[in-house]
Amino acid sequence: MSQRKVVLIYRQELILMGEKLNLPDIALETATYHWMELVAVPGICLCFGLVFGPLGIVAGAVVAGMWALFGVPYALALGHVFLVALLPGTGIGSEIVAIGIIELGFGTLLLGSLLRRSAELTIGFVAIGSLIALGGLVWAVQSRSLGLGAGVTVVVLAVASYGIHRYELVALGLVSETVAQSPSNSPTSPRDPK
Amino acid sequence: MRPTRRTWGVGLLALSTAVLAVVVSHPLLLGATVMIGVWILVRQYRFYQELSRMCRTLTFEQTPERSVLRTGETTTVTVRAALEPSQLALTFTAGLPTATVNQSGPSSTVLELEPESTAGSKTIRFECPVAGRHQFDRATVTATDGWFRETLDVGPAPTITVDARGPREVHVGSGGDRVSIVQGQHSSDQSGSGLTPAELREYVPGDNTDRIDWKATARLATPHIRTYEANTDRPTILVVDHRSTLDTGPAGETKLDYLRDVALSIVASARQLDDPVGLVAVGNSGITVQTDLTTDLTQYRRIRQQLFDLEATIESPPDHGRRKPGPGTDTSEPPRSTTQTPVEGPRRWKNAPPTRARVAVRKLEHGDRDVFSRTLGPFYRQRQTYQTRLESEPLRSALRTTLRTQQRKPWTILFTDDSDPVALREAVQIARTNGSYVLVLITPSVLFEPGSLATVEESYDRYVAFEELRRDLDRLEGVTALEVAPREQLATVLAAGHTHSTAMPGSRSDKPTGGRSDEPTEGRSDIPTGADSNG
Repeated sequence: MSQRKVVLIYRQELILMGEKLNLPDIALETATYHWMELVAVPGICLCFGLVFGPLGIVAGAVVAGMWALFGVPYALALGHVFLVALLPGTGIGSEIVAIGIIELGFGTLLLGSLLRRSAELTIGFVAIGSLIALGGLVWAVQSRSLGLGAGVTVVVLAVASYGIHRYELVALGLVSETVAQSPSNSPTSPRDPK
Repeated sequence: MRPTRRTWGVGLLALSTAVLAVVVSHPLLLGATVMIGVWILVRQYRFYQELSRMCRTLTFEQTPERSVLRTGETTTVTVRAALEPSQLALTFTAGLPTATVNQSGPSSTVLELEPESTAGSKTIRFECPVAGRHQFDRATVTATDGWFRETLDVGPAPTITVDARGPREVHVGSGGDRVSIVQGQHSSDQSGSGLTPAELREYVPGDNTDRIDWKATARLATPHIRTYEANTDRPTILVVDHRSTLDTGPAGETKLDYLRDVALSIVASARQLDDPVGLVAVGNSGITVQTDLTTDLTQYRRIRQQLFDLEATIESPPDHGRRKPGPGTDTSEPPRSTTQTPVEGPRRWKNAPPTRARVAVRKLEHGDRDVFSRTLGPFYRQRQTYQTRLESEPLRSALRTTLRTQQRKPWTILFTDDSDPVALREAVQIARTNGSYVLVLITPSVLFEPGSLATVEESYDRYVAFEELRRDLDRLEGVTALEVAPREQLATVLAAGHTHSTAMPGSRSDKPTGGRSDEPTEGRSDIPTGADSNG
């Protein structure tokens, strides 16, 4: 079955589902899936099952349902919550390999949701690059203090988002050219008699 | 770039995972924050890319159907968008000028294009009640991918010109030919004191010796007298008929409006030449305005204002006796015989929908008992006072009364219509008897009645009847009769008559097509200034 056919089948099913659940926007938004998503979701379920047993399978199924209904961000959040909840300890210890595989699945899911066409290399590079850069920065900072790491993460994301917003305004010429004229250099302002 | 509520929700989710990571002291949850954050950033970047591509490929037009229209007219503007397939949903909003009224409903100004659409168009109907030059705002396009939204100005901002209602092209002439009527320098054929030399002639006994031109006498060896043209002026009385029959025509383009335009140009010309001008306005029951001949500058202005203020008097309602009329009101007159239109009568201005102003005036005239009439009625009755009340045949009586009292025989210019040819002929005779020279400016009813041009052949027949009346008057000694009409309607009727004559050779040989010539004379303005038409 080709990728195109898969996409069409999913579109029909999810539109029907969306009408039943009265969530047409979300269903339509997620209707066209990249093949990476279709690979990542079963992979995540499988990894959860292999690492955490039957409870992991249930968690993986819930994550898949969340992905189908509410989209990738919610699936990522819930997946991480389940991952933390199912881990025996509070740190990342002996399950580092399993966690790495599951995180790779999350990363694939993230990348697949951002790529609408296979040839979008730019988007792919931006996504992978920013993921590695931000992840590395946060990893480095959180080793000192978890709170500091969380704060840095939020601030960096906010600044980067605002930066893209400003870049868009300038690139599309949406910044109005207002010449600030102070009273001192106004031609009509009275001169100093001295 | 504004995030939608869904984006805010996802952002909140990222923040929640960060807080949760701190609360449960587990760094793995920061991974979720990072991934969700990167997801938002990349979606933002993707939206910017799509938006840039859309801006590069979009072609948008905002084209009004007409660039010139009149107040109250309805027209349309078409918005068209074409672009390459985009993943963005686009919503275009047309930028109608502030002074316009959208007649298609508020949602009609919006053109929506689904993702992957390549073209779309929409037509919006609007009305412009305010005269002037109005510029459209640039249309706005709101693009969204469901996560972010941006609004941009696109396309041109065209301009429309809205003209106030009123006569647009006034034709003054005879049988379709344009004729100059405005006064210019006119010969008095009298010698006397003046500045312009008239002739040099030999002295004859009886001549005043003061008038001997000594230089000419020395040169010619015999006494010579130099005579000069006498400086004279031409007293002009404008008799403007503003009875109810003059109300025929669309709002702002009635017979009275056209006649008013011509009268104003004559007053302006007279002022330029310092000719004394007087004004007599005749309503349904008598004289409403009477201004004596004068060359006072303020008087010219006053006459001008009086002409602007003239409105057709209202015909009395059938039950005009149901209230006691106030002093000077126009409601007690008997039904006028002039409502019969001999050229072709019954289809008259009553077919035209009355304007709001006209409805208000009728309320005041009829003395309705609503708050509006009760409040303004006393003021209106005071305003609508006849200077001289005439029991019957107001036009003739007004002419007789006015001209009889003049010491000098004035040039009489009568502004009226063809609704009562018999009375018109008698009025012209009276003016001719009591004055020196008469210019009659007549509006043909057929060119003002609503829908009268629907059957142009019938209209042509009625116009021919009018033309015969005009010619009859024009043949009278010392009388010039001209038509005043909208040029476009007149051209339509004449063209129809010409076509009919061509199609049926010999069938209309006795009827004039275009009067003195078949086609209107081009190259002259309708109301040129400075041209002589004194006859």
